[in-house]
Amino acid sequence: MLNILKTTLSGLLLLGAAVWTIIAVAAETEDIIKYRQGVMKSVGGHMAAAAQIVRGKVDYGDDLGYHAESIARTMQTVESLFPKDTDFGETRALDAIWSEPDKFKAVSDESRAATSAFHDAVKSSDKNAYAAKFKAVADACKACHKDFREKKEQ
Amino acid sequence: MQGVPQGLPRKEGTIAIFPSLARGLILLCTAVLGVASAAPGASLLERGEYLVRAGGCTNCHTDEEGAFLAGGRALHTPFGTFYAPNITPHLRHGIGAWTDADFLRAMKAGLSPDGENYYPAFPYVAYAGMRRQDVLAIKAYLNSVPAVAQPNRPHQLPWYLHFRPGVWLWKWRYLSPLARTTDGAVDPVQQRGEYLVNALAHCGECHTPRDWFGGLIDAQRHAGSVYGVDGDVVPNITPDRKTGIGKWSGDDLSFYLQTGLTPDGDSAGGPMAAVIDNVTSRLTNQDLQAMVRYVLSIPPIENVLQSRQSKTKRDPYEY
Ligand code: HEC
Ligand code: HEC
Ligand code: HEC
Repeated sequence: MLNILKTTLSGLLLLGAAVWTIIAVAAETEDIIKYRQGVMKSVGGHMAAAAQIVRGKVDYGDDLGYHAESIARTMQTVESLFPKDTDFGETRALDAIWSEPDKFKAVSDESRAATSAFHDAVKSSDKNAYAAKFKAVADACKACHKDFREKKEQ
Repeated sequence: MQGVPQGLPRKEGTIAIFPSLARGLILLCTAVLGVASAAPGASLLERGEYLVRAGGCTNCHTDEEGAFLAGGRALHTPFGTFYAPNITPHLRHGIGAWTDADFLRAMKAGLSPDGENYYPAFPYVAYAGMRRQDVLAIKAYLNSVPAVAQPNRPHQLPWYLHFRPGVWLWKWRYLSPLARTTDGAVDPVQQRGEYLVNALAHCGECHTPRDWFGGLIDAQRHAGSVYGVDGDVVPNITPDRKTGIGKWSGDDLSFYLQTGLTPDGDSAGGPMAAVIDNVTSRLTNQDLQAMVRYVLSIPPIENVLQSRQSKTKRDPYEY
């Protein structure tokens, strides 16, 4: 009798532990996704601001270095935002990120190179140079979103 | 993505290397057509090259890893998977043996040289609005690209679509009403914009919603669709302030069409990224501005889009 009770109890405990682990992992995944989207939004914010300056719409040239640096810093480690198994739930990240790692690395490398080049050009404060480099940054964002981000949800 | 290859014949002098047949044809066309419509003063081949770009032919007919215009990647649609064929001038695998009349019929009536109906995955519903001389300039340019011996891949279609004559019925219903290209356009710039958007760049093929039979719903033109290629949700690009791009200025829109950056700093992805890379960022500034003027003049349509896809895009949507 006691044995049966013990077995049931330990079974339940194990089951509980398993469920707990699953929930914890799921929660962690969700948190990573939220973080990732927050980071991407912040990059988007800096890009929107930088675009206004680069296009000569506003006169906040002194702040361009700060925007360029933030964008470049984020892109240095962009892959770290995509740990394995963070493709479930409320995310637009596509499976291709994990199923085509070489291609994903190539676009990540490109975004690293383009954003650093832009940052450097801004530091040298040569207007013509950084306008062209800004275009290359936009191209790098687009290249990754083209193959690795699901299309818009509205 | 590769667009148009480098080192294309640009100067008149280069034409000398073409076979005399092609040259004769080109000279004839140039003589008949007279003034170029894309960029004044451009040669026929230059115009053709430009129109191939503006028409987005490479988006479908060139595979990312494949040869220029020798056949495209899989196009997943709710009606099956299509492979755009080889349109290089190869005599057997391409369209090298076609006459101008064959080509005009394909582009403007969706009919093959054998009189078979093409599936509307080939956007001839849009191209039907193209000017005759523009279609012929495209043909002249296609004749000049390297011929590639690449056989066509068969489409993968559900059984009920294997019957090509059935497409006739579809065309009877949908081909004519959409071929108009002058509605709403008042000034010449806007008219040019409408021509670029509707007859060449075929923005509506993705941005206009479709009915049950895959026909474009004309009353909702450009108001957004949940039936895009590969199952994408395609946003509303009418200037509606709530559900469209009504808050974008003309500058915002031309900046987006050049760089992919939206006013809030997001960057375009998916098929729109290819459209920007291959089509809109390569237009002349004049044409880009015309396109922008026209898009922002479309009557705003309020349209809230709901994705049919679940968030777990694990199962590629298939019927
Ligand atoms: C290496 C790939 C990659 C690069 C490079 C990249 N992105 Fe992203 N971005 C993504 C993915 C994937 C998502 C979707 C993330 C998700 O939903 O979990 C995304 C999402 C976004 C979002 C939407 C965030 C939200 O949830 O609202 C913005 C804005 C954005 N990116 C801006 C940019 C900008 C600007 C750049 C260039 C400076 C850039 N991205 C470069 C992959 C990339
Ligand atoms: C949205 C994708 C798409 C675009 C853009 C597109 N095509 Fe096609 N095209 C197709 C498909 C798919 C077919 C095959 C249709 C069929 O088999 O019924 C096709 C067929 C053709 C054919 C018939 C070839 C043959 O062997 O019978 C020609 C010619 C052609 N396209 C030319 C063009 C030109 C020129 C352009 C640009 C102005 C263009 N296409 C743009 C998808 C496209
Ligand atoms: C092959 C399909 C396709 C074609 C052709 C196409 N688009 Fe798009 N378009 C899309 C998709 C998909 C998106 C959503 C992009 C994303 O998820 O980042 C989009 C986004 C846009 C947006 C941004 C809207 C927003 O609210 O963010 C604009 C503007 C736009 N397209 C204009 C055009 C114009 C103008 C043309 C014709 C020159 C065109 N599109 C042709 C598929 C297409």
